[in-house]
Amino acid sequence: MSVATGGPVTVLIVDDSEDQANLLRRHFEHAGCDVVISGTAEQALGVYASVQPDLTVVDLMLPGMTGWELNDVLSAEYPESPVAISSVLDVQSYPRADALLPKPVSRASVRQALMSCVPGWVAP
Amino acid sequence: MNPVSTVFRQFVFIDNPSPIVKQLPTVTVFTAAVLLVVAVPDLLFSDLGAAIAGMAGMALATGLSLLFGLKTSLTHLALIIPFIDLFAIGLLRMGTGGAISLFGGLMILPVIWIANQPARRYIVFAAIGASLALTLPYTLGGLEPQNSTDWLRGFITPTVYAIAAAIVNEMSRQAAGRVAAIHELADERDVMLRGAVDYAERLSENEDRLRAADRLTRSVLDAVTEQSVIGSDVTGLIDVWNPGAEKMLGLKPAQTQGRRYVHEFHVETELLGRSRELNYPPGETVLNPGFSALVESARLGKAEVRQWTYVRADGTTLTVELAVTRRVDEQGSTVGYIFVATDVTQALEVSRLKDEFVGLISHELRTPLSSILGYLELMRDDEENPLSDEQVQYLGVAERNAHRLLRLVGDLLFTAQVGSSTFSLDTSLIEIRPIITSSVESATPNADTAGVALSAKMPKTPVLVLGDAQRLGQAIDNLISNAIKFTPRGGKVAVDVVVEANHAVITVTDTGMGIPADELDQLFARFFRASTATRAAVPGVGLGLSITKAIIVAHHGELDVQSTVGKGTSFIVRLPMNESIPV
Repeated sequence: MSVATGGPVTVLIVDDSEDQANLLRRHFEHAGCDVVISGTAEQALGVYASVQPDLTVVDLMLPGMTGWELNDVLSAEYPESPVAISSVLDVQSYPRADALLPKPVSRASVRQALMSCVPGWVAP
Repeated sequence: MNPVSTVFRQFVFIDNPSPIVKQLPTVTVFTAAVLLVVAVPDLLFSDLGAAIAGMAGMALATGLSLLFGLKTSLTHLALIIPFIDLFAIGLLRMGTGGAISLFGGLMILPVIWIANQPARRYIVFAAIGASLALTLPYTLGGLEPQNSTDWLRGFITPTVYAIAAAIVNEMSRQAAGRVAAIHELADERDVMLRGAVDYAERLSENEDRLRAADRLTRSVLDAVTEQSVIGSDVTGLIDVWNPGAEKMLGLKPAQTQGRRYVHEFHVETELLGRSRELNYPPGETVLNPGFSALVESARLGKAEVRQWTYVRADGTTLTVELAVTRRVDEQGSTVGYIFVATDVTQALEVSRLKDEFVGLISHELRTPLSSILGYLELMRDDEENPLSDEQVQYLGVAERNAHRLLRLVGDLLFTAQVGSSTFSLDTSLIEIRPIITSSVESATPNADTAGVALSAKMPKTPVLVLGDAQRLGQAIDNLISNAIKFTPRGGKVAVDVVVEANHAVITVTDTGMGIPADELDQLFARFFRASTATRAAVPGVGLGLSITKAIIVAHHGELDVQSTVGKGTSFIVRLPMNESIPV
């Protein structure tokens, strides 16, 4: 479900750290979004079609396929769908993306990302 | 006189035979003459007294000749003998008929002896002697010259004798001259021979010394087994190949010296790339632009140390740090190059691993920190479960410390990057004044808490530099926070910005504890803390200034410090303004 089909903003979070993923979930749910979490890039790609997220948040350090690689795949296969990069690494190492969410994220930075990436999002 | 000359003179009778030998013909003929008179009945002694006196004289002369001949110290007196001979013959002549004597001609023998001397005066002596001997019949014998024939006899024969003497004398002189010339040549030859022997000795000594020096150089070169030392001529043809090169590249000297070129062991594309970088230097050799690029800096007199890839004989490659220097002859012109290479593959690998490690560690440290901070924030901002003021305060402390830890990890990572020079700047044209203003603003609460007065002074016009605003801000933040940290309550920190000689000059001055003069040059070293700081127990790890310096240097600027212990410190940042930034 997604905003396009009349539902709430759906956010797909790809992060192997449970703590970080939950933190992001809390922030996005506070902002009124539905959240789906995938622990690996492969898993995320597997559920992507069914989830149809309005925004994908990608952590760079992932087991298996890395965040960089996932970003490339998503840009190639779903060019319309926005991707936000979230990582503890220096911002300089981030690949090109629609939004940057350097960790630790804050309520404000999450809402800022939603505002710039998802036109249909409205603050609750 | 050397042995050769002495022997020569002993055996060659040309210049000085013994008086005995010279007397021999005279005495022999004289004796024969006497015997003739005695034996032949028609020949008579006209004056026996004179004849006997003559024989006595001859005997004396012969005796003297024996004496002088044997006693070599008296040889120089030998010239008396022919004069005595002359008189002896003169007396015999007188005693055998005077003018009609058969034996007047004997006089020629002593005349020759006398005349056979180098000096011309002996011609005269011989002539006079002969004349006197011939006129003995008149002087001793009491005869009177009867007619002009008698007179002439006194002159003609002596004159002829004189001419004969002159001829002999001349021949003697010429012979003596020739002998002298030969002696001179012999002496010269001796000198030259000695000179040649000396020279040969010195040459041999030098050769030995040269061989010893060469052996020493060789042994030094051969002892270098861990570095490759290759020498080449100006075209790159190899002439020195040490054991280190053999070990590193897998070829023996016999296979490379005089046969292979230095650039054959490099990667062609690398050489051409460098050539392009240097704008295709012509160098000494037009044939190989790659080699020209390799030695260009050295050729111009400046040794160069760079990383290159060497290609081994088996085709595998290795990274080396290569120092290229020029070889010159005595006149100072280039005769070749020396290439000293150290294998740095391991060092590079270690460096890479270290960077990887640092990156990994910093990520591992930051992840839990960001979780801490993230959940702290959630707790703080939880609208459904608001916290008491005290709880908010406690959270604040936890958050502040987590932030501090995060900053420290960031500093560590930055320092490691600076060490391996992998950090990069996000450069653009920026205005300095807002950066200073923002740094001062964010440091003001800190200054207030510490009781330090923080002020800033800036020009009215924009100050533009080419740089990374975030990094420059970080550097200024660090200088200001240091100033506050090291200044006691009631002190002052002033930030000054001026434009001087096309440079933006930012000065951060404090009235703090200062830095001892002998520690000033270590101030920017990693993990260095001034003794004044540790003594005053000011917290810190000692990374701030090394990072600040690295940032300033990356902006092509300078960072200087002036300080007096107990009075204060001034940090001066000089940044080139836009127009004069080196490309």
